[in-house]
Amino acid sequence: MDYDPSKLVKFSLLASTETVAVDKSLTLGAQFVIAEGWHIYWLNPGDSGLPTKIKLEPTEGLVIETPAFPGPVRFDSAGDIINYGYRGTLLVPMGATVSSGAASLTVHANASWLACREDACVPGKGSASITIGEGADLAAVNPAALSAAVTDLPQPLEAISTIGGKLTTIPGFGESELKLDLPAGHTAELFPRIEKLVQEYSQKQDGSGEHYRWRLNSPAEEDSLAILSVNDGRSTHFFSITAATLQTLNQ
Amino acid sequence: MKRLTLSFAFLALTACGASQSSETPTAPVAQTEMAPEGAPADTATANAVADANWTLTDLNGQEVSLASYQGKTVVLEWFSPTCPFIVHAHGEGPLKDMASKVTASGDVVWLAINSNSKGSAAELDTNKQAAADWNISHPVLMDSDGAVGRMYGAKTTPHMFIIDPAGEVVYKGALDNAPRGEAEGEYVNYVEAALGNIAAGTPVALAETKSYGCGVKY
Repeated sequence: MDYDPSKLVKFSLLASTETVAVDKSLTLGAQFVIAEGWHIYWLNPGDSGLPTKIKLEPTEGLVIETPAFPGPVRFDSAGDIINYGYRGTLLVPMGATVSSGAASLTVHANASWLACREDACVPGKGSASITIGEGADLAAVNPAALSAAVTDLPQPLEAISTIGGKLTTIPGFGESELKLDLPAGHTAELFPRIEKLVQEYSQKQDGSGEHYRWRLNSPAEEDSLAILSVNDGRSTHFFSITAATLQTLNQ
Repeated sequence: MKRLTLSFAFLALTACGASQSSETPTAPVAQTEMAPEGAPADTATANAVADANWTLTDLNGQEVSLASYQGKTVVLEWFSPTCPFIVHAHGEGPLKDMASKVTASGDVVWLAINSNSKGSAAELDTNKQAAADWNISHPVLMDSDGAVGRMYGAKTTPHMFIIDPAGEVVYKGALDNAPRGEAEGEYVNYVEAALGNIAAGTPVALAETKSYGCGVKY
């Protein structure tokens, strides 16, 4: 069966403002509207699939930060196939700062993805552009959506205490043990960003709550190692685990 | 990552495929259910695969047994006639003529295995059409119940496994570093490289990589 890739995923760019001025900070967003029943993949797609990629063309007069992918969800399929990705709408915010006095700026981006559902996968590519300043694309200006997307981004791991989580780490040679105690009714999930991160994992419940333990390979680099998601029964919160934060916690 | 709620004892598992390093991987594969309690998962899985003596049926209804290729190098290619990665690889990519080249000497056998149970990819006619369209001369084996796919832990199409003449799985992972022909950096065909190592009588330098592609629809 053939599917039209352009109908499965619609790629576009959003901006938080229609005006430009030197040194002004704004947020751009790469938006993927995914057809119902389909999903696309996180930076680590898991056992199959392909990472979703966003490539920005250099824009004179605008410094754009690396796209910040939100926390993914997990899909389990028969055969122990575990994937990480997104359903519905994926909005990837990118901070930006205007560095010139141009009256108008146009940003171009290319994206590629693999859309899959239970019985099929369809690769897709898209290009999008957005103009701010003179001739701005007002329909693509959506500060509320971008502000919400930024708020939902993974927080530093230390912020887990704000939802009642208690973290302990035990450093080892080239590895770390991460222990997370959560109030009863909370659930946690670790999304590895790099391959072979999780050596061992366990979970137990008792009268004091939920207790998770991961033994992680922890490279020395300050790379993003994983995203931790915690559901408190009402909503899901994401936290970023880097080698540096593991070291900080150990001190 | 598999969630284990019953025991606080650490159970070995990995989240997903292999790193693309040249070191021999030491982390176990994610098949804990095949391991006896308390035994390392990788040992149990490795034994299950090394002892494998499965029989599947090809597109003409002929039975094909792994045991009949004892003493040869066997390449297993997880296959789906509708997966875009397979369509690219066989239609215009490296699998267009790779199997016929590497099997020409008679030392290497190439078997495609379809473990899909859903959609047109699982239908015999779709597979016959694909085999004809892509001039596939090696067996395409139907593993409709997924037993052989699960035995090896095949996750994607393509997912490649190489069994050496001693019956050991000496490579598992991606075909190459170029999903649908798009290489990150210089092109590397991991299967070709591993077969080169085997032919030269040297250990396979890169024994495990992370496979890419469509998930096998078990």
